[in-house]
Amino acid sequence: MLIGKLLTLFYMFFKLGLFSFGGGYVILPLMYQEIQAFGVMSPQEFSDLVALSQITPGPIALNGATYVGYQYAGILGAIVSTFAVSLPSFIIVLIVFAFLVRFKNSAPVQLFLGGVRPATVGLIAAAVLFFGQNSVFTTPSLVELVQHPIANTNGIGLIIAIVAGIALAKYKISPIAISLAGGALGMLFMRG
Amino acid sequence: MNELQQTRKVSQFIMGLRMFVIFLKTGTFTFGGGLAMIPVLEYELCEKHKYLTDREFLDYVAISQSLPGVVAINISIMSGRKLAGYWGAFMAALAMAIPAFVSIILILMFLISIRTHPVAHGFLGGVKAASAALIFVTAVKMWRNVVNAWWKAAVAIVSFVLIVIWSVNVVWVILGAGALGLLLPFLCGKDSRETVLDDESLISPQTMELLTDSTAELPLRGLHSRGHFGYTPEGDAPAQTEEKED
Repeated sequence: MLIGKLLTLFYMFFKLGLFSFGGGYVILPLMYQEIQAFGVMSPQEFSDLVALSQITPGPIALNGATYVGYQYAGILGAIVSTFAVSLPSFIIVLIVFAFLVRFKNSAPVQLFLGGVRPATVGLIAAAVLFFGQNSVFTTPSLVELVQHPIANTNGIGLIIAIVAGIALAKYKISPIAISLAGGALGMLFMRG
Repeated sequence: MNELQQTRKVSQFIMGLRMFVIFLKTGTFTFGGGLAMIPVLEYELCEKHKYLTDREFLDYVAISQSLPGVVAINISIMSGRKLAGYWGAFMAALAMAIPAFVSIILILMFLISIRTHPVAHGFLGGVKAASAALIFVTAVKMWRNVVNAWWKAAVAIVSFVLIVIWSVNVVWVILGAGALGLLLPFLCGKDSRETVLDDESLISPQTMELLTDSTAELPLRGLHSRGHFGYTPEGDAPAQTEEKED
């Protein structure tokens, strides 16, 4: 019985690790589909996960794997799920790395990476808006934010962000210390 | 020789342990998703210890985003592999997984009610506000490092808009930008070649030597000979080389 459950978890999460492109917020919906297909847990239980994965450290997809695995088959289930979702990464990334080392200096690879680098800057910048949501900005809509910038900004969030930015850019304080200080200020002044 | 190999093994072992510490720290103190760890890793790996250059790190982020699986795990495996071999890859990924694992288990065992607690809510709000600023600062630093031509600025801005406004999957954005990088020398000729190849940190000394030796169409030479994209050496590019030879 337990072995059957563990095999189900392994199959589910190995598949997720192998076929989900684009990070945690792509994996969670796929995970939900799998969970429904296998009847591993109720939709209510799964929605708890979304809230929980936000306040716990680490990648969301790993929080999800641990959560689903534990709820379905206990601590062993959590271990199997986490292992299974990471296993494809080991295989694929190590192959790609070997390829990269071998062809790093070839013209096509350099040209390709030359195009990719600025795009990566753009996608890192896009994450600024994502983290600003519900902390610095109170609306998810970019249009609304541009139209009413003051009404849709959280003052305390904005102050934390400005101080955090200066602390890193100018004083090179460790980002870990900065975000923990931000969290402490949030605990004091941002309880919703 | 044997002794050298041994010291190398020992130093790789120690480096793997260092990877474990760095990624454990990163995994423990980043909240709200894997992208929050980009400023932390950039600080730890590039700024503080100088294990990686900014460009290498950026490449690892891009590659990790475009491969399947958990992006944070992909970045850990890639950086760990680069700095301390397979051992390092394993240690980095393990360290990244431990905090996510332990925190969920502890919460499920002891305080499931924390997710609706106002203090937890406030903590997350503050951390996210700080993270937004940290990511912004890192993005600006990366921009300065990478964007040295108008077309690169355009690629960065278009990528940003595609992701933010149309929610395009990052994999398509990265592959599209890479394809553009490959095609640009064919579309615009010499100018774009120079802007691509000034990424000196990633070019081997041998290649640099070739580059400074002759100003011939180096990056295209390989492409020509293999006949990529059905390109035939007619038109502008070969004409320029002939001029230089004169």
